[in-house]
Amino acid sequence: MVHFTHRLKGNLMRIWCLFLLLILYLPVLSLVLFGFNASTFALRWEGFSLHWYKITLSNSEMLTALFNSLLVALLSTALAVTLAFFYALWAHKNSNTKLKGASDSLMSLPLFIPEIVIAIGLLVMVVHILRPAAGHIGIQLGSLSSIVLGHTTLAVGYACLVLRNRFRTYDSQQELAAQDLGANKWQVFSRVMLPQLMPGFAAACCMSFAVSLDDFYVSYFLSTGGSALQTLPIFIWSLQGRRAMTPEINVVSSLLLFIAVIFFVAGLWLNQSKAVPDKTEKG
Amino acid sequence: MNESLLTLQEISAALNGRAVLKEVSFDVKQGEFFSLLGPSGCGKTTLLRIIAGFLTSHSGKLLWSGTDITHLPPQSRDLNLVFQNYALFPHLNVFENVAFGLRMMKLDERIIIERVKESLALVRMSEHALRRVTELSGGQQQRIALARAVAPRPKLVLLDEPLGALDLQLRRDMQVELKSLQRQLGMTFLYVTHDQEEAFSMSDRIAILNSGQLEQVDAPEVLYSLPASRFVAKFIGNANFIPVERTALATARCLASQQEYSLNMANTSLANSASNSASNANNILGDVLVRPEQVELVSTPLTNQTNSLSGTIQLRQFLGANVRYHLELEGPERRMMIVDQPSTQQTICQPGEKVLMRLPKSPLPFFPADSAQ
Repeated sequence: MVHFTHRLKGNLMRIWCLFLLLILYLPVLSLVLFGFNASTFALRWEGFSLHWYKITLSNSEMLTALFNSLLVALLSTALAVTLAFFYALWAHKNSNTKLKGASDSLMSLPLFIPEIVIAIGLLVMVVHILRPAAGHIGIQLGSLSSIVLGHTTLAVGYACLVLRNRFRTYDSQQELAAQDLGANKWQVFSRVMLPQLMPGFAAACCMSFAVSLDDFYVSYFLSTGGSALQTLPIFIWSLQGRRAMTPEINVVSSLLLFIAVIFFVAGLWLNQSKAVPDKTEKG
Repeated sequence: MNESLLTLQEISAALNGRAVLKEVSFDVKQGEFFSLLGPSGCGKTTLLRIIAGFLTSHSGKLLWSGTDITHLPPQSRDLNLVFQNYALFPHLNVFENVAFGLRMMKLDERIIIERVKESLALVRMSEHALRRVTELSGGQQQRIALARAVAPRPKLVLLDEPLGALDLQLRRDMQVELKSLQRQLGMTFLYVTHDQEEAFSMSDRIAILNSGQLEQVDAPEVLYSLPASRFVAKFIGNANFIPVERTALATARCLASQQEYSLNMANTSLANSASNSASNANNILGDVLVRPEQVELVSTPLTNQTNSLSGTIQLRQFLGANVRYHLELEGPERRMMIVDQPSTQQTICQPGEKVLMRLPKSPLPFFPADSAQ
């Protein structure tokens, strides 16, 4: 009897988990499913077809937006991870100071600020501070540089978090050991520090890339100008405003989803993979 | 012995404004096992870091076979350090850890392989070459750290309390291994430790450091029998200090028990300097040092004899090879003494028993009262 109730409990838990997964993934699954819709309406199912994939993938406006999104993500990732690395390095070297605890909180605080707030803040900043000051070097509303700047702002917090975490399992006494064995500063960096931080780097890159790719608010507010750079989320947004929604919107969204998920999952996986089990004891 | 490899000339250092080392000078000779011994916080790790080149001294010089290396960066010094927590590279396997120094020397791959194999064989870790260092036990990591340090064949190997994290039995085994390894390689070892037993079991010579100051540099036997200061006497082994008054150049009167036993005193430099500093050799207060095993207990008869003191047994401890007695000396000070007797001895004294302690006939080291530390 006890055994039976035990099994019942186990089954209930299993069902509960399945239910939870369903809530989490049903919207996404239906979106992907309706991308293969034969109908001319996005929300009416008329059978399986690759028709809308063909149309979407030959839409030059969509392809431009996709290219823009990837370009912005690439640039802002490079910027964000570089900035985050130097911050993490500084924080690691100064790990005894009180400043560091405060700085870690300051770095991750923007992650909890609503994205729309950051977006509006960026808009105000670009219009009132950057454009008058640096307009001639190309930081215009809706320009590539302004959107890259905005996405870097969003991504740098994540990159800092991931890299700081990686540094925590890294014992800098190894640098002394390497130096003692004849390594110069560059060799210490390239042979001891970098290989151990590599998973953190990769994770930070994936996270930043996904954050940039996902972003709607920042791109939307910063592209208020007429000849603005259009990212993929902005293109999707414009699709639903034009005419009756075709399954094309599902297809484009699915594409965005695939790319973002690949990067996000890769980032999570790399961050959790322990290239270095933290067994270092402090002496 | 041989010529000196490393010479420290009046090395001083300060950390955060506090003096950590005060004009430390000594010589490490080629091929010797030299230990730096002192309680924690005495500055020995700072000194080691200065020798390795991670820190620069405030003043003083570091000579390497006569040439000044005070300002040479660590990578250019022909010495390698075995770190206290090993500081192995977790992203490299055992082989690559040991090969690290050799790769920095840009040696031929064939030679590197040969040298790594040789070093791993020395520490009996050959079969673990391809394992990750994080999979190894503490003792094994210790061996790899050692192999990594000796593989580039440096002239000097620095060891920073390398056995500290190991359990007692393993530590004792490693002491024997380290010593024979050093003999085999003919390298100079500079070993830092706070454990006097460890230093004694391996070293040819030991430097004793106390709050940044060098107390004495000598062979273990000399340190034990003729300590240069009260600190050294207390830090190494058990020490009984018996307060005495010097009555003549070679004898003293024991004050603690108010008994006028005459004691022989050592011809140490301390004793000599004491007699020089005072106008006459008589009536200098001080202590003589008696090691626990130098005393012979006699239960009967309780007759006053030269070189003996009477006391009462308070406590008896069986320590295997020895039986340790804690005695209270007769007299108002009720001073305690520790006496070790070989456990093979037939006569067993019981607590409460009144006994006579026969002190050695040989001269004893004398510490004048003004040298108290």
